[in-house]
Amino acid sequence: MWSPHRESGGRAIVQVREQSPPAPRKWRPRAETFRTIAARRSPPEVSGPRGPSPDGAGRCSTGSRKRPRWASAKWRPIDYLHTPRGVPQGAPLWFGRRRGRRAKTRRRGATALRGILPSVDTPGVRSGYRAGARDSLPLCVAVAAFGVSFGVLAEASGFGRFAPIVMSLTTFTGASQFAAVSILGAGGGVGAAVVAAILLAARYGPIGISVAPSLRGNALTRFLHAQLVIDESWAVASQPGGGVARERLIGAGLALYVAWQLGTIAGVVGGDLVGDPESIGLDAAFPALFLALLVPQLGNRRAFIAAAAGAAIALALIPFARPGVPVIAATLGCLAGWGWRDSGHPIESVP
Amino acid sequence: MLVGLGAILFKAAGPVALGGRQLPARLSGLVGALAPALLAALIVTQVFGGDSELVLDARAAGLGAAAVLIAVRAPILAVVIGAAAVTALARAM
Repeated sequence: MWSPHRESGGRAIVQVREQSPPAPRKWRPRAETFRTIAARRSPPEVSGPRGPSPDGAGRCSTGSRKRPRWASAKWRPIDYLHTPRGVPQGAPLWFGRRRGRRAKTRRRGATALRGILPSVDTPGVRSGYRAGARDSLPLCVAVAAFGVSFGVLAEASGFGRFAPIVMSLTTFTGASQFAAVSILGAGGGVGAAVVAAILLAARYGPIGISVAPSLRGNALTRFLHAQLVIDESWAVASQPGGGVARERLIGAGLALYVAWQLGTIAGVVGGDLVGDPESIGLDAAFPALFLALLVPQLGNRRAFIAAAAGAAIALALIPFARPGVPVIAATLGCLAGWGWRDSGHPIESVP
Repeated sequence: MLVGLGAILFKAAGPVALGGRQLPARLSGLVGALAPALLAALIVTQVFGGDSELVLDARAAGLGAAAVLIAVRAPILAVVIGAAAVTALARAM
């Protein structure tokens, strides 16, 4: 069993006992266990107490109001007298227990969590998450409204109540979900639905490439963070110079995820009460936001050409290609901007 | 469920494959140009995209309103709400 500073612990303890005869107690604090064990284990030798003891016998004084309650004589843990270095006074007894099987488990869990959960230590980082969530707030409303309509559509297509919610939880991609559900609901085959949905989701390939340099951590962490990337969170977090602000991405992604789930559930459960989000123009909210985010990025000529080429490719392909293909093809528009810098002439990159 | 798997894989592919590494300068320039191209394509498909055809409807009016609002340097929230409002008005008419 672990005991705090076994060698010197007993000596100090004996002295405490001599100075303060134990008063009758109704109960024993947890520290008492340690006191007994430590006293039993090491032979009693009288020596000076180590550690913080400001006035020598001050530890026997009854607690003053300024100190916290656990620092009073009655509550004071035994290792108060010889707190190891680096451990704050009055810290819980398990503080600094770095050995042992359970400590190992705890440490592992904490490390894993620390990797996955965003660290909120520095104010700048925290404000980054907040800023991301705040900026995505109007989008959350729109996304929730579309979640409602997705729930309504899915339930009307005969998917029951459970399946759409599970689908939203696992597939955080509105467009793909809409496509799959509407094709299946219209009597299309499973194959067609899956192909359409995956084509729509394929834009996350290039988006993921643009996000990748900004994500940190191990593979699992990056994997989980990448799941928060959707059009809206990526757009809110993307920076003019390329790349995304990681904290903003996570904050916005989490907010949007919650909004999407709540919307889906509301749509499945009480969908008939809610009107069509398109009737209040919410479907124009997304392109408006994308435009607002695109304009600051058009600072240099390369970005402008890439945007123009992307829009042109998408426009040209909409009448012919399946949904989802134009956006993916439009990523080739970035080649146009690239070519401009290299050769001085824009390279035609229309496939 | 297949759809979900596909979406997860696509989302994860990029970050997991090249996360943490810094791209070479040339390629990072390319990636920087990726964002405008993708954004422009998303705008175009969401505004003019119909069922395998180009359509010009109330959403275009909303986009125009958004452009005007951006030109007068309105905050993003105002841009989004304004675009939605104009679209709704155009639909109602």
